[in-house]
Amino acid sequence: MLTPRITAINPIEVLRYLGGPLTDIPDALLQTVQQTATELQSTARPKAVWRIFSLDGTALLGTTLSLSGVDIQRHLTDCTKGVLMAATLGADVERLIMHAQVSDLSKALILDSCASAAIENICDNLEADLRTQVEADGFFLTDRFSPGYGDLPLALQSDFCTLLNTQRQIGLTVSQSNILIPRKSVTAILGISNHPRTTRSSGCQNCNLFETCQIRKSGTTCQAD
Amino acid sequence: MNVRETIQSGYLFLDGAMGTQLQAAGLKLGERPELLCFTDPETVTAIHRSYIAAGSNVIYANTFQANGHKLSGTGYSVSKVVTKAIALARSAAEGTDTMVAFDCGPIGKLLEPLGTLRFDEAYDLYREMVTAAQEAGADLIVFETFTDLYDMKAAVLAAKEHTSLPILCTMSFEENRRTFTGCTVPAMALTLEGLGVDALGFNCSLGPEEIFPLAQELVQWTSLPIVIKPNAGLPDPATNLYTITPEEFARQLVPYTQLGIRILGGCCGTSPGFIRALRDQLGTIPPEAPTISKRHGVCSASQVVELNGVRVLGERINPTGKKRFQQALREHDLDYLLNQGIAQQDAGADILDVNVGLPGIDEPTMMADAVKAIQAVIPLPLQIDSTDPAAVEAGLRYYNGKAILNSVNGKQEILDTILPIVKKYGAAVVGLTMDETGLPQTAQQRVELAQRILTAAQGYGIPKEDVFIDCLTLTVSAQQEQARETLEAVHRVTHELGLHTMLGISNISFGLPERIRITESFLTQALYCGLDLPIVNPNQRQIMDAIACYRVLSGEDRDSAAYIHRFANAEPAAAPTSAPAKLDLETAVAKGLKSECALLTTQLLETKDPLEIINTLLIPALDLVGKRYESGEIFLPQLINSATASSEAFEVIKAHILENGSEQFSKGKIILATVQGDIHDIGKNIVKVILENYGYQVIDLGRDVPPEKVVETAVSENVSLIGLSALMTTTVPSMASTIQALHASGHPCKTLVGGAVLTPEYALEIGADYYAKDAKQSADIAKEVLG
Repeated sequence: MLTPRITAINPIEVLRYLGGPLTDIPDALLQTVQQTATELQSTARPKAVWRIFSLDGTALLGTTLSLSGVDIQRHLTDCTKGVLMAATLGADVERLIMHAQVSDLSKALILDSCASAAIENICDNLEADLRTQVEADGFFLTDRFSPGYGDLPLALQSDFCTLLNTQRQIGLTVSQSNILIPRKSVTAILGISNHPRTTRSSGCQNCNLFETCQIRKSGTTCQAD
Repeated sequence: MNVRETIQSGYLFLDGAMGTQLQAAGLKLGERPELLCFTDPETVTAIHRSYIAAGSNVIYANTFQANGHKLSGTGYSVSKVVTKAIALARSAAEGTDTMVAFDCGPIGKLLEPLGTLRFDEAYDLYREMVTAAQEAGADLIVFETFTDLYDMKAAVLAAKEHTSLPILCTMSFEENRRTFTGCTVPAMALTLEGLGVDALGFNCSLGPEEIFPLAQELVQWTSLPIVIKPNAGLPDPATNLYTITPEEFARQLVPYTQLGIRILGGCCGTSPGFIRALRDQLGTIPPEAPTISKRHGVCSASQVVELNGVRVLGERINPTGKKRFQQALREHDLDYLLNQGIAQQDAGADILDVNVGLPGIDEPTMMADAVKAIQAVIPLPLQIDSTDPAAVEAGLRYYNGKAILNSVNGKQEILDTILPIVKKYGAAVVGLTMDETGLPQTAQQRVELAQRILTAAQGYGIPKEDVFIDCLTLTVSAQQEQARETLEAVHRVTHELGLHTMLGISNISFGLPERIRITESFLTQALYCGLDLPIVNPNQRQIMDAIACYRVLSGEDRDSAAYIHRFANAEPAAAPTSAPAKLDLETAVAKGLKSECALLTTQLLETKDPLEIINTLLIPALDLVGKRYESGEIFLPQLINSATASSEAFEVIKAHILENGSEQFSKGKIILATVQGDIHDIGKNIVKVILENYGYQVIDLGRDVPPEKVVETAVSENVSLIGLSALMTTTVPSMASTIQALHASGHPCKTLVGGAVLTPEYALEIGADYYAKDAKQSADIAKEVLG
């Protein structure tokens, strides 16, 4: 049973989204992060939807969609099927952040970072559940690959959401500029193959924060593994 | 068959799913179902015919997402698709008395404030569809599968203002009785009934069994006919398939008849067999009409305030007599209003009064902006406080929910101007017991005026429970006997006329020492007389305490639970009247101590000049914090805390300057905006706080701001530094076009850009003058440009 759920919001990961600190963290800050994470967990009503499609290369059979770019091709090599998934933290969290922005901007920032950590956690859990199911049937599941990674066009957000009927199923829409709304949401495709898959190597290139990471921009790394 | 007549007493059987039927007939995922009207009209007509044969009284045309947004790029216009789809349905229905509904789902883009679709843009998209539908001969309009009440309001207004067709509205809820956007069942009922729809209810998401508790709730809040169009149960999580049988589906709908529900159909996963089973099962059951007592109240989209007890109206969003507030309105400083609103919410207000009337400002626009800003962050229902018909219309139109309009009075011209607006938007209305002859002198006069207002309101179709009477609180030190007249009037209006009463109580004590004692006493007496909508300052704890006490004595606070919670653990919480001895302003800023900053500043103003405090204490303190941030000693949350603490100091200084009538201090104006298409604004708001604390006046245009608006504001406010923010690579082009537009306008100014995806190289490429890597750097740049 695939239930979208938050199991852990790691304070260190939250601080990574905040741009630091990652060492010598003041106790007061750590406490605030933990309290905010707890508040978020009790407010959030995460939702997810997923579907399995048969693949012909990078074309999803039974649909009008074919995925372009070399990176997704590499990712889906030897995959006979693909799982399309979408997850969202929901509109309640969005409103909580908007409210906090007026009364306590610092808390709003921490909430926003907690929310980013939370949606990743939800996706990790969903992926783990899917992997268990897939492996029980004797197959193997790749990592998740989202529009915007590598050369997979961001414009595919719209197609992913249409195929999954996310608007009706989980209240997830895509704006004109391909922003998922509610903001703390993720869409991705995972490949199902007959052969074991190595997970993507870690490092800046494969991190979803690559474009926006302030730590990387300041010339260093977070050394996350 | 006349829809409006039929739904008053008989069954109306709708049809079942179209989408899943089309998929069964071969429609691929990703293909537009509506276009099948052109590529495979026979299949569409066949599905319609099968539902008619199964016994549907109404078939929904294949137009669910035939809107301008979804059809763009297909080569088909809205008018063409709608006309064709309705023609197909009409031809299928020929020779029968089955009616054809124009079926309209939500646009597919989320509305403001969470999304980028403006209310007026949504309205236009719905208007385009409904006018085509009426022209094409639809018998009625159905808005279904909506999850956002604001979206539904735009749709219903478009239909009401441009067609004369009956309107059925159904929304999709989750099992927790809320929609994805947090709308509740009573909020839907109160708002849509107020807008004048013909029937409302639920469709999709859930099966008949899951929807039943929602229906049980709905019948308590509306007298309108109710529509139920469930899915074929919940799909199997593993296969995504619906497994319920038509007979089981129909059996699960039987209990609804006991609630008097007569408009029924099926949604996803259903087929003609389901409708046939429904007709068979219900054919033997005569439609019931149980008497269910109705609850009433006002609401936002997510919160209903039921009017069955004392409900506190917060009065603080009002510029009368408040120089700082007036300044905020002139500067379009919505944050100031929001802070007032949140403080009142935290203090226990149930409803917020919103008054933005000030000579010299555009009240209708300000009212619309204020309503939109407040309802984005505060879930309390609002009371629109204005006598300007344009501002009244603006406030009620853009409000999401059922509002209160404050106010009308006994003057016929006012009643005839304002009451129609109140009726159109389904608001409740406050009537002041006075007229063109002046203020009433006796209780009797007040009661007569109340009756006159009630009669006029009912004449416009406004129900009695939505008419609130304000018997006018006059200043006791000027007209002592009027206090008793008002109290007697409240008693009589409550018990003889059976109406809710409202009073602004603060006025009673004007001019007397220890005002709060008289105010509190008057309040308690008025509550006993029947007052249930007191307008107060919720920040006055003594007043809120008095209300808490009354609620125990009246029985409203069952088992005194709320009272005990309020007082049992109360420590003598004395607000610090002076800051700890050794603390100075610089340290208070560095540590982010908000109230200490305010207190210290108040003390300092006794001996120092405001400018001196800003330039020699506050700004250097912030500079120091900024340096420590740059060197990595402290981080963003701490920087923000210091800035918000410094803001408290600034508020004290601003108020002080206003009291003394001096010129407000400003180092110059800066515009900040998140560019068109982008909705990320935390970074921009951090920059705003920092810049304000360096003494700049920030004009915050918000998010998703079109280039034209930036240029317009730059020119009209004569601003020479414009800051633009964008978080996505896809919205950086909007940043480039905004900069281009500014250059093209010829207005002399510099641009400053920031946002996580940007780099100095990118900034140069798009023609920006400055790139700020963080909030601190923005302040440095502002200093360089403006001084």
